[in-house]
Amino acid sequence: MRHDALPALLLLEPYFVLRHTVAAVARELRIADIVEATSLESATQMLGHRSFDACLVSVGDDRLELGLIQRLRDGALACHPETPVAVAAATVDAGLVLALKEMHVSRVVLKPFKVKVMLDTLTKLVADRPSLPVA
Amino acid sequence: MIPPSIPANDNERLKALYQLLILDTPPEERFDRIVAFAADEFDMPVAQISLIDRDRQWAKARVGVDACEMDRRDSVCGHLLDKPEGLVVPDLTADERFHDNTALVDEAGLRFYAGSPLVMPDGHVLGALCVMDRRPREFDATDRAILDALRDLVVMELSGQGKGADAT
Repeated sequence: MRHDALPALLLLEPYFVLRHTVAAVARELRIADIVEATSLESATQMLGHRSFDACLVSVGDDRLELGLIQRLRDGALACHPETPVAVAAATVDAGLVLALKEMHVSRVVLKPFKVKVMLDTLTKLVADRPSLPVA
Repeated sequence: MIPPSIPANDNERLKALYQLLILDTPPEERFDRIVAFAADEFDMPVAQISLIDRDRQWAKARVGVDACEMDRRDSVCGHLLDKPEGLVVPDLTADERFHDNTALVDEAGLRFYAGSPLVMPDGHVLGALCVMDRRPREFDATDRAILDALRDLVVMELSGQGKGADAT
């Protein structure tokens, strides 16, 4: 029997237990096939080489990850520039909200990060996917 | 109270447990962080990694409970040795196996239990990763999948395939 392929999502999350658990349960519940990125560097490399249906990016205190999202929106990566993106952040201020809006980030997850909340976000992110032409 | 049954392969199971040389060892960060994560994820006051010895349950990692061991006959995790699918007890006081378990219900004041068995690659079940609450709770399919995924991390650590101290 042939199964429909799951949407491919990139998860950039440095904390192993959270990242691994989200990826395992998303696969088990057939929400998405998660590719795990442990660092900004590895996420940049992955996004430079292949396309994803959506991305969930944990933003650190230095917010360097925003540069990666901007590159994605600029069409500088292998993903389509309109790929849905969600962000997980410990804190959010007006400046970050503005930046996320300008980069068309569709969802924000705030601390404390829970696997269940992240799975819910992934489910909505997958539903957000437009029918994108090949980048 | 209905004590946990003793599996037919208990001697072989215990041999596999003893080969790990883990009983009565000090706490380790690689296990503590999984238990702490489980307690936070489910908002449960109690979580532990229980290993079932011949006559006792011993906790390799625990939050929310002082004692690191209890009699095997009082152990809820001991009931998982023949339940690969895990066990959820929404209200211990409403379950004939546990309602009069004095150590759990009266002394610890526990009402809810969810456990996922530590099934090793060779098939032996050595114990469980469990979370407990002092009020009756529900636990849906997603919760069970999350607990099972965390259990898999414990098994990876026990079998030497985990991230160990390198995991952040």
